[in-house]
Amino acid sequence: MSKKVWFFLLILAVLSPLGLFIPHWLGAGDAWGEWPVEIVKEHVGFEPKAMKELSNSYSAPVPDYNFFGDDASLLEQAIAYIISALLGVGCILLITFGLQKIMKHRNDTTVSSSAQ
Amino acid sequence: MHIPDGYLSPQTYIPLYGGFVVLAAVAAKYLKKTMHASMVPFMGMAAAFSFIIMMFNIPIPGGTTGHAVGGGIISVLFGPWVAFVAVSVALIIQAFVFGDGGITAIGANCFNIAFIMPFVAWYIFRIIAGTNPSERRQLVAVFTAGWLSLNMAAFFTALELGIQPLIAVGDDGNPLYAPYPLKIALPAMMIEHLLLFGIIEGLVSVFIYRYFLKHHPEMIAAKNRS
Repeated sequence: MSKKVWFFLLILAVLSPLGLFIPHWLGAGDAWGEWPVEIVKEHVGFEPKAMKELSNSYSAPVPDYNFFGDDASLLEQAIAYIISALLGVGCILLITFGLQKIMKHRNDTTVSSSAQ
Repeated sequence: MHIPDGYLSPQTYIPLYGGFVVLAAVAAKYLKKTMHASMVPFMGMAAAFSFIIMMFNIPIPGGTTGHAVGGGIISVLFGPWVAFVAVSVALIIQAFVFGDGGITAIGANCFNIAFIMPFVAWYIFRIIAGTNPSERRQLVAVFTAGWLSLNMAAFFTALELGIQPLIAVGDDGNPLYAPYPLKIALPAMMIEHLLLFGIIEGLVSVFIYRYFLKHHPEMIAAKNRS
């Protein structure tokens, strides 16, 4: 089943910019409760103090699945989105291989020790 | 549903981190005993699926967006602990690499989306499907499991956000973290998840389940006998 499912996931990754375009065309913004501090300020009229400090405590290497910056065109954003999908899956595979190595090693040692 | 940094007070995110570490230890212990190393690639596949499906933002025209997670169907097919690890891996990479969900909120987000969701889905599916269910009954169970499990994750997220104004207020009387009270957070999160995002989650779950029913019926049959 693996090959078919991975192919399906690859197609999903290529189609992923739909998740960017369709909300853009319909004028939908962030998910509820995931706004940047400036937008929270617009909602409630003040900037929650601790939120402001904590929200800048970490900057991700590829913020918002986009490495072209805030001025990126839709096409650039779409390209970045697809690459992000592949990069994310790549990271997941690395972690998975790591886990498999650990478990394989452990399974082998369990088997050999119980055989003795 | 990915709570960013700055929305939760330490009184909230530290206990949830603690809870997540305990759950991860339980998951490791359980999976070491029950899961063979050959199953790990399927866990990776499930994590990749969850990661990609979360990129498909679904709009409420002129309003907010949401997305499916896949945590329910992964749980129904592979069990809740496999789903817990798979969705946690996806969430942790989203936080560190893409800034989607806060670093301080990893414990909270994994608790809501990778723990609550798979376990709710698992039990809802088992309760509705029973033993040796008809195909129709299985599909009803899968849809309900997907719909309700995403809504439970949304409920816990709204609860954690909505209690912030109660527990962390500055000298000026203003909330220090998420400023939306429960009476705003709960309806806002629940209405959109009950009426739209949860339904999408249910439909995605049914689609994946039918694929496995058709191509890997032995896997599904093994699960429904237990």
